[in-house]
Amino acid sequence: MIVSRTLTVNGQSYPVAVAASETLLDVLRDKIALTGTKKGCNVGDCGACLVMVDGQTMNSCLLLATEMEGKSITTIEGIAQNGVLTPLQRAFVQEGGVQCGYCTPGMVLSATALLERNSDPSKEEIKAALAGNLCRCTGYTGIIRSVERCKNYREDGTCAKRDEPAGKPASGNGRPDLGGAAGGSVGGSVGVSVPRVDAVDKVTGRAEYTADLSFQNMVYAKILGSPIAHGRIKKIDTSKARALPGVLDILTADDVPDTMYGVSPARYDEHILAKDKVRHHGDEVAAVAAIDEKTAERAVALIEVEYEELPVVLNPMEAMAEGAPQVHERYERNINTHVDHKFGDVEGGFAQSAHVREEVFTGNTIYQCPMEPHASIAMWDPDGTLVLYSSTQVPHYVQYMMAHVLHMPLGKIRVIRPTVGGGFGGKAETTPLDICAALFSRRLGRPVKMIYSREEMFLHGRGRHKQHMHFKIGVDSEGRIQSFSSKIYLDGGAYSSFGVATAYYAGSVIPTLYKIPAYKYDGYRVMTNKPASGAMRGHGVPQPRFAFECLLNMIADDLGIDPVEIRWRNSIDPNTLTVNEMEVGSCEFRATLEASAKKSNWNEKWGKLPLGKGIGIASGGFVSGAGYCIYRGQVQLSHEKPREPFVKKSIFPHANAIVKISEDGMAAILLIGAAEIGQGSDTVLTQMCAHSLGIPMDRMRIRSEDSDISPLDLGSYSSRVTLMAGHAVSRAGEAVFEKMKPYAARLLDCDEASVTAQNARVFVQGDDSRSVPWEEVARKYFNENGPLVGTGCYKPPDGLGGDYKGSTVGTSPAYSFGTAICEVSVDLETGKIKIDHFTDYHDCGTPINPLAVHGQVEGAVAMGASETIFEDVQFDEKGLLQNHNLHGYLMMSIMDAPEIFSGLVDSYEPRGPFGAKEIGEGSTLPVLGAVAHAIANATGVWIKDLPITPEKVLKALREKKSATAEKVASS
Amino acid sequence: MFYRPDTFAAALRLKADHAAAIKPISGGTDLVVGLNRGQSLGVDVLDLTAAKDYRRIDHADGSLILSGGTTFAQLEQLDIACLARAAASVGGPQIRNRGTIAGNLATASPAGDGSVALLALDAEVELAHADRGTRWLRLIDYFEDYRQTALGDDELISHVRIPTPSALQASAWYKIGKRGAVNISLVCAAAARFLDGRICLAFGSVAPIPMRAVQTEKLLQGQPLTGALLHQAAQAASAEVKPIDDWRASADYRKAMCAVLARRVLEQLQTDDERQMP
Ligand SMILES: Cc1cc2nc3c(=O)[nH]c(=O)nc-3n(C[C@H](O)[C@H](O)[C@H](O)COP(=O)(O)OP(=O)(O)OC[C@H]3O[C@@H](n4cnc5c(N)ncnc54)[C@H](O)[C@@H]3O)c2cc1C
Ligand code: FES
Ligand code: FES
Repeated sequence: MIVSRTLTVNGQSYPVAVAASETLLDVLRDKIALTGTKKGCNVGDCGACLVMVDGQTMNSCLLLATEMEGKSITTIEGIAQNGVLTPLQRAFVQEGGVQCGYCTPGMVLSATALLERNSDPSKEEIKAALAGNLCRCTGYTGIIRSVERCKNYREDGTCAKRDEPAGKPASGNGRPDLGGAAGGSVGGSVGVSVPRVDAVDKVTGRAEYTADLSFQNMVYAKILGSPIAHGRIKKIDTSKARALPGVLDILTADDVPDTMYGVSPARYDEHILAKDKVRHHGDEVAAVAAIDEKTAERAVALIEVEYEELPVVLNPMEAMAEGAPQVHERYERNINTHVDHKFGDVEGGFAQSAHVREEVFTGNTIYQCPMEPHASIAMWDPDGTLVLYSSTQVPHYVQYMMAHVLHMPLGKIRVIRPTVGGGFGGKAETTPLDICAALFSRRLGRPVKMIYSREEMFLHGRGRHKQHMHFKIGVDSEGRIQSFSSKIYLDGGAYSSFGVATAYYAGSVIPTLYKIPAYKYDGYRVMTNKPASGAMRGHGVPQPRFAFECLLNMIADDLGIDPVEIRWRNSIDPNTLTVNEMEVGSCEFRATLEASAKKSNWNEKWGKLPLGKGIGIASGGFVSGAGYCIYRGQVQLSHEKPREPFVKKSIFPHANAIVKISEDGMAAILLIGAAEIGQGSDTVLTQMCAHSLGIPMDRMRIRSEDSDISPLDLGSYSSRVTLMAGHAVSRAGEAVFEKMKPYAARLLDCDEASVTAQNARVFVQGDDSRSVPWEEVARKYFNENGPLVGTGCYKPPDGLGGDYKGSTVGTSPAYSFGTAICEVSVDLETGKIKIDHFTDYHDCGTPINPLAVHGQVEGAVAMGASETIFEDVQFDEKGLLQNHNLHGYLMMSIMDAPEIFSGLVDSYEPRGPFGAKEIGEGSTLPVLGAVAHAIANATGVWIKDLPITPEKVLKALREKKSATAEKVASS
Repeated sequence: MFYRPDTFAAALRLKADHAAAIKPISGGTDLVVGLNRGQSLGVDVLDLTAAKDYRRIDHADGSLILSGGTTFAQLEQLDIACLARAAASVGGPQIRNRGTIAGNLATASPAGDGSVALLALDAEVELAHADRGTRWLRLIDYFEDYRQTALGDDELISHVRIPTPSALQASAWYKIGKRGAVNISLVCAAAARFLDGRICLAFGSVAPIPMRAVQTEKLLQGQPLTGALLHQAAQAASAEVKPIDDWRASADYRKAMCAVLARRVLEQLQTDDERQMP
């Protein structure tokens, strides 16, 4: 039944016709086109849809629009008046309160409501007020900072000043000058904590994510997922669905290209829609397009599928057993990837060790859970070009894979990446949404929009592999590592996804931290009847790193060595080729150990805290971009490529940029396909480019969202963007300035070599009294030559990696390092864990934007801590997911987030642009081990399987107690 | 149809006339979740939020009378420690601004925090019918089985009465959830001591219904809460509850936590100034 209502939103009246069951959220987004209010879960768990109703905060997904007549509704669009940000919005911009921005509207509204009733809230009051708003990116730290800055803002209209930001940018100390274009002098925009270029759009609700977009004549589609984890499809009857009014088209495996796709070219094993068999709960079986989303949902429920249920395998060890059910015919004993690496004299190393310890660790199934659900919109241009809007972190690979499944040249596929609300690896693949939307759109001749629900996101999966890890380390009497062996079973889920790389990564990045003279790694990635595991922040490495760091701490205890000291003794030197042939260049690992121990007062705390309080340490690091592209050969439709032998060099540049100067010389437009997904790449790339051009940031605009506009970049994965895309943009900037030099030299009457630029002045090096406006030089160039454009590109160095199988995975131009010290309180009666504090120091080379770097660290700490103690995707014995929503799968709320100190050590990476390396993933790596160590320190018991729940802590305490009692009794 | 009466009396009339064919919505924080998950309403909606007299807190005859539409945000402000704290532990602020006590009692989840606190306060619920009038039921008699209550199809929850707020000496609340906010109780406990010496103890998430630990209460009646008695009560509570294993926690853990929580809430009762509780 449809009723008419007049809603008052942001002071304006909107007459709307609504259905009885329609939520305010849907009406705001679909009928009033106020899309600043976001949908993160649709069941009240996340707060992304928060609005104010008569001044009170409420989740609009739980409000029926029919009840809203006569109430005053305020959405994020109603906060800034006449385009002027409120002090709170400004604080979010300036303090790093925004990353991907998907939680931001809700956060800003909750905080606004708080400040309206309490202008001077304490930190605890701020947390309590934001407790119903989840954020996956910021660790809440920047958000709290933002609100704190606004205390008392209403009195004088300005904000209270806050202290200096945590951790200062590195400076000086042997570093080459970072000056502007052509090596000018100080200043410029690199190394400065400028606010994000997209922050204002995000605090006002103006930023448009894929699901916020609508097109003329657009229709919707939904996918039917399998209700069972393993079975043969006997029959699909779509007749009832087809008969539902409003249904436009239906796809099953018979209607889609019979092409397998995936990520790792050697293992394309996914059908677009399940053919013959379903392999996990939610495996995509059929899809329906309809005039609206609700009709599509209803129609999907009307499709009748008859399955013959098959037995399931749910863990890799069982799956490898003789006679276990086969998930795919092609993987014998379900083994999808086997790694068999051995470097150095492993047995000899153990034999000569003074102490050897062996332990088994188990990881958990983690889902990235970006706050923005995946969405795609496809349409076709009349000339046969596919235009695909996709919420992705890898637009180029989406383009490549769409070309593959559609058998089309890449040049006929235009991928547009609107604002993306977080990825963390969960959006690093082409999704069934991308493909089905494109197919429907071609058949219907209309734009087609598809969005995953929160539940579907979990069912589609691609989260962190759960790993079962058998680790053995041998050390000499001083704790120096002699040999290390690991055997890991990775729970792959039902498809390959990134898993081949994951299996290699689980081994390859371990030796980049410590001197390990002998190393054996035996890895099995095994198929199970679960959603496919993929690449998540720290790809493959966090769980083995957790295991390694725990084992090292256990060994330190065994030998009575301080855990900081044992790391120091084993830490790798700069410019080392590791035993598995990874080229470590700059390395300030020891500085991170020293600084974090000092800052946290380690020496005063270690071994001296009361029972129930604990301190722990772990280290970690990661690649700054993968050394090789995911696919082989050049940019070309995969079916057409001749099979060529692998060569140890990049075939084409992995990052490419164009800088185009406006004809009046007043603006520079940076075109690059690097994927801004919330991590801040648009900002740091703009900074680097502005720096090399010699102009201020406010003269720059970046266009990174459209493959028609921007040249190829491989995307946001393997922490590659700052280093690789950074090189491309600074080179493009330099290229522009090179072209300007002759004109500048003429205007300044000097030789070209002495021309430099900064802050939009071009001047003679060493004599800045002789200068001309930058734009004047640019105009002169244009007058003579037409467009002033520069290009730049970056290829990883040739020859990275050894000559053994799988040697490419883990290679990188540079490696990051970091150390985290965690402090916890544990309630020994309930087992409840409170993560109180983190002290982090990282070596990320030159921080291009310290604010952004700290934001990455803070987010990584909260995410890592959350996965250590809370998160785990749960399955029942039939393989059905149990907690695929945000009230069952618990990620940290603001009430759980620790205090975080993030610091940086002085470092310079010669292979990085301006000396920069990565931070986004490396900062995750120490977290898990540090939490586990702190808990062990607080309780006296080690928990070796994740997550470390209160229940496990209590059980271990009980077992320890009865073991001690037995010992006492028997002695 | 979507009914939106502006008085509770009108709502009662509609409910009596349409019985199961009409579904009340109070704060919607349970109901709309179901709707959005694809459960169709299948019936008409009776929106109670516009009823003027549905969101009040009154004092009468020494009792505290809460209208069914009292929100958790309102309950948080009350001077009754266990109810205020239980309310403050529900969801996030935006859930508490919406969710109501009637909704909590009608949903009758074993993990209903408000229900558990009210049970310990030995509260009564008023079930109202347009023609038959109202009946008051002690909550201990109201919860029948898993999500089943004494509430009739043609009735609405109109009020909750906490019979003796002046006779209440102290009350206490403790909730264990997996995280710090927006958090379903793994186990929660509430306790109240009345001036006549009576102690009530209730638990959530350890039985098909929010439950009173009546056996344990018997142990405690008229006794000074010595350490030994607390220990005994903790054991009794742990023995009395009937939790199940699920993916959130094992039955064993929940039982063990009942012992810990029983002791903690009873200890809290010892302190005179309730507001200083952690
Ligand atoms: C994110 C989230 C977090 C939550 N956290 C908690 C928590 O921590 N603790 C907790 O206990 N609960 C929690 N809940 C559940 C929910 O908020 C509570 O159960 C709340 O009390 C429900 O009240 P309501 O007014 O919103 O109910 P509604 O959704 O309006 O109604 C619930 C049910 O009660 C019926 N009903 C409503 N009013 C009446 C009436 N007057 N007479 C008869 N029947 C009626 C409705 O028909 C419906 O069946 C949470 C819910 C969400 C979405
Ligand atoms: S979308 Fe409403 S709370 Fe998540
Ligand atoms: S910034 Fe909070 S979810 Fe991304």
